[in-house]
Parts: sequence; C-alpha cells; structure tokens
Amino acid sequence: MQVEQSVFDQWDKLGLRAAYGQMLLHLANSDPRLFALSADLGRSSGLDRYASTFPERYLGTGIAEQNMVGVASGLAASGFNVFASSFAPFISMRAGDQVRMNLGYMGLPVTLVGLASGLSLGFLGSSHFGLEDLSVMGSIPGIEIVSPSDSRELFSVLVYASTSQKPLYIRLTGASNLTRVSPEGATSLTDKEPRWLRPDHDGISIVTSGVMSATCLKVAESLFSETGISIGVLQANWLRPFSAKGLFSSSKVGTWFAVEEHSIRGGLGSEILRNLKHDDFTRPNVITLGIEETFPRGSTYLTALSENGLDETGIINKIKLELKK
Amino acid sequence: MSERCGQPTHLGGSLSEIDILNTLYGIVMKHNPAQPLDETRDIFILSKGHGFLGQLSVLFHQGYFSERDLEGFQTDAGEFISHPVRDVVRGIESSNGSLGQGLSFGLGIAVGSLAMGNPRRTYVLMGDSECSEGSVWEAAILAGHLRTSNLVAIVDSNGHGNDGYGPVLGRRDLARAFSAFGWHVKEVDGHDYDQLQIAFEHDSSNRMPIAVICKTVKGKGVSFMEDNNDWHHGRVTSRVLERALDELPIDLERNAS
Repeated sequence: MQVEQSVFDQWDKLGLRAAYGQMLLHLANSDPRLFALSADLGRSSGLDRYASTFPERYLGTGIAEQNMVGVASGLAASGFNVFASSFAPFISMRAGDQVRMNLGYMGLPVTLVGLASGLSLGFLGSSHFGLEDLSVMGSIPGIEIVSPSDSRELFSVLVYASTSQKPLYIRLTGASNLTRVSPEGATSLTDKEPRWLRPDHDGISIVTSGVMSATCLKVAESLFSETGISIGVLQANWLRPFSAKGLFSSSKVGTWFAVEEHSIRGGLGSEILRNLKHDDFTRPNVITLGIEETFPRGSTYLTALSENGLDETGIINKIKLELKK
Repeated sequence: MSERCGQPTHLGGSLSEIDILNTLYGIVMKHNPAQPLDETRDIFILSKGHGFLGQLSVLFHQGYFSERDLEGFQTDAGEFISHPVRDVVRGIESSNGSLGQGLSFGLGIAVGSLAMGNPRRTYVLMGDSECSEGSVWEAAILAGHLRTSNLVAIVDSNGHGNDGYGPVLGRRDLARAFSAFGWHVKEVDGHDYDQLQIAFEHDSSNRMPIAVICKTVKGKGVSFMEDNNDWHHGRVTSRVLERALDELPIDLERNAS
C-alpha cells in the first residue's frame, strides 16, 4: 500500500496516537473487514473521521474497556479484522483478564492498541501513564508485542495486523513532532528482528524500542562528540517474538544499556536478561534505565522524562557514571 | 462422568441449567453437529463456565463427540476439564471460567453477525451470582443501547453462589436492571420446556436484546442435591450415584408431563 512521504511527515508531526486513527481510515478504504473500537477515546486517537466514514464498522463502547475487549473478540470470531484502543494502562490492566481469556487463552486475533504509553500523558499523571503494559502483555502467552518508533513503522505494523491471525499488542509511545528513525529502504517493521540504528565500536550499546529510539540516537551522537566514545544503538521494537539471535549480532558488545519508558520490571531490560545464558562468560553487563519503584509525578512530558532520568541528559549522565566504574 | 472421574464436579449448577440447554440445543437453536463450522449456525456461549458438565452432557447427546471423549471428563488423559475450552468442532464456542465475560463476547458475535448480514442468533447463559460482575453490566448497557436484537441473555437463577447464600441480585432485581438498560425481559420457570421455548422463540418484530430470567433449582432432579449447596462442587461416590439413579425415572416422568 503506497503512502506519500509527505503523509508520513504529517503523521510524524501529529505523533503516533493521533496518526493511528488516520492510518486505520486509510486501511479501511481497501479492507472491508476492518473494524475499529474505542472506549470513549476515539477523538483522542484520530478516529473521528474513520467513525464518520465507516459508522457500520466502528463501535464506541463507552468507558468500558473490559467490555470493549470482549466485544472486539466476538467480532474477531465473526471474521472481522479488529482494532481496539484505549490508554495503555486501561487496555492492559483494567481489561487485563479479558485480554488473558480472549486474546491469550482463546488466541483470538484481535489487535489491541495502547495509546500514549510511557510518560507521554504528562500532567494526566500516573493514573494514565503506561509503565506496566509490557509486563502484563508479556506475561500472557501468545500475544505479539511491538512498539513502533515512527509513523512509517506504525503503518507497516497496522498493515501486518490487518492480515495476521495472531493476537497483537501495539504500544504507542511519544508525543508529537517525532524524529524519523527508521532507515531509508528499511521502513517495514514486519521482519521482527532488532536492527542497528548505529553500529557500536567500543563494546557499548543502547538497546531500546519505540519513540525512545530517537532520543537514544541523540544520546549516542552527543556522547561521541563530547567524549569520543562511540556507542551503538540497537532497536528491539518487537518484545514478542523476541529475537535473542538478533540481539547478539554484535560480537563486541560488553555493556548494554536497556533504555525504556516502562517499569524496570517486565520490559525490554528484563527480556534481555532472561535471554542471556548463565554459562556464557562473554555475556554483557546489562543495565536497565527505566522507571524505578515509583509512581512518577505528573508534569510536562519533558519534565517527567527528565525527573526519571530518561531525557537525553539523564541517559548520558547514567551511561557516563557506569562507564567510570 | 462425575462418579467415574473420582473428582469433585459442578453438579448443582449443571443440573439447574440442564432444561435450558436441552430446550436450546434440542428445539430452538439452528445447529448441526455434522457441520460445526457452518457460519450461519446459532451460537451458544456458556458464560457460567462452571456449568460445563451440564453442557457436555447435552453436546454429547446431540452428537458433537464420542462417548470416549465424554468419559475422559476431568481425567488426566481426557479432553475435557471442568470449564469450557474453545473447540468449535466439538460445539464449544468459547473458553470460560473467569465469570462475567461471556456476554461481552456474545455481544461482539451478535454485532458482527448483524454487520455481516448473518441471520444467526447468539445465546449467552449466565448464573445469577455471576451477574455481580461489573463487566456483565458493561455489556448489558451497550447491547441495550445498540438494540442488538439477535442477542439473548439467559440467567440461570438458582439462588445460590459458591458460598451458598442468595445472590446479590435476585430475580426481581435482575429483571428490573435488564429492563432499565433497554432489554426485553421475560421471566420463566427454567424447568418448564414450554415456557422456555416460547421465551427463546424468534420474534421478528422484536427490536431489543432479550433477557430470559429463569427461575431454577440448584441440583434439580436429585432430591438430596436440590437446593443443597453442598453439591455446588461435590464428589459423587458410587453410593451417591446409585441413590441418584434410583430417583431418575420419577424425574423423567415429571419432565415429560
């Protein structure tokens, strides 16, 4: 499916949450089985035009995430390609048991979209932050999990989702005005392998996912111009299936920083550690930079990132500190 | 099955629902065990998943699987456990056991059927104590709002939960609540085949989802199990089985009359 570069630029400007609904509208034009649901967050996810264009294939369930996931699953069992979205904590935890029973136990091919995950909801605070969604979804067998890092990647994942027969969780992170990180010519996120956005030279790498990838690239560039140390940036956007093989594609990696807008429990850092072999003497030192045992204070998004050590400066400082040890 | 497996089984709620299931599978529903994947089949969802023993008995008599499959119930080598696990070929449309979820799933199927122009109807059986789950009412509110007229919610109101005391929602409360949310409510004797059949029958003038509140007896048909919540989840010894079977002809006669 062809989309003009200018449209992707516009979607990157909007951010993944608002672009999501517009992308579904685009896909629904050529997919008569596409069906979208929202639990009273349609306007917040760019679905208003979709809803008015395809009212017979849109359902606003009201603020009832548990029911939305159940209804979405019934629609999937009826043969629709179903997308259901809500803010990340509500779709992963409020409806967690429905996700477990319907997408997990029954394996129904519903695509759930966790909107505005991580800290991006800023002043809405910890009631709305998505800091546990990966832990929850990751502990339910059979659900694929992906965090796209720009609009090209999100679009390729949505195209994949509309034909996939597997349940899928798409974690949307970041706010608006995204920096495109997907390399030219490699804009599809459907091969599910991690990829090097920047090669490593000194045995030190950042492993990250989602919109955080852009920040991590800046971290690597700043660190290089300031200290001459060149660190790699490996983007591992698929948490399930998780390719440990792709992760170990560098022979020189000695210290890895897993950087994630998520609890340090159950996210990317945990998944990397889980995949290391205990009898491997060359195993890297893995340090996870994420949300520690706290409910972060509500603030502007940038301040929330900064207060939790996940802005550019915070990540650089932690890396410097570790490398001094 | 209950005696053979040597394990506690959910007898009380399986016996209270059995006449409802026989009416659905035997008279009302369009279904064919020889073509279980027929897209126009009516759909039955056992939201009260612990009533699976009852559903299995009915599915077996309808011809969905062999006696050998049935005999494996709650045995380590068997196909069936105490709750349904989705297996459409054997007539089991959904996995249940975590209560309060079947109505949402059934609503999704009903909405999908309407959107696809599929004439089938969807029946969801719940327990009365299950109706304390909030998600039941999320689904009830939406179905009423959407006027999903191809959806039938059935409540097996046997008056006992796991702990034995009456449900938080009695029959009057259930009827009033469904009615308030835009459902066409029917109250029937859940052991009267005529009343059940009339309540389930398709009425093309109907424009609302239908809720059938069934007054039932937990443990129905075996005198010492009736209204005795010890049999919610109990073990049937050979002696108990003998005593129960002794009573059966009387019950068959009563049901036939």
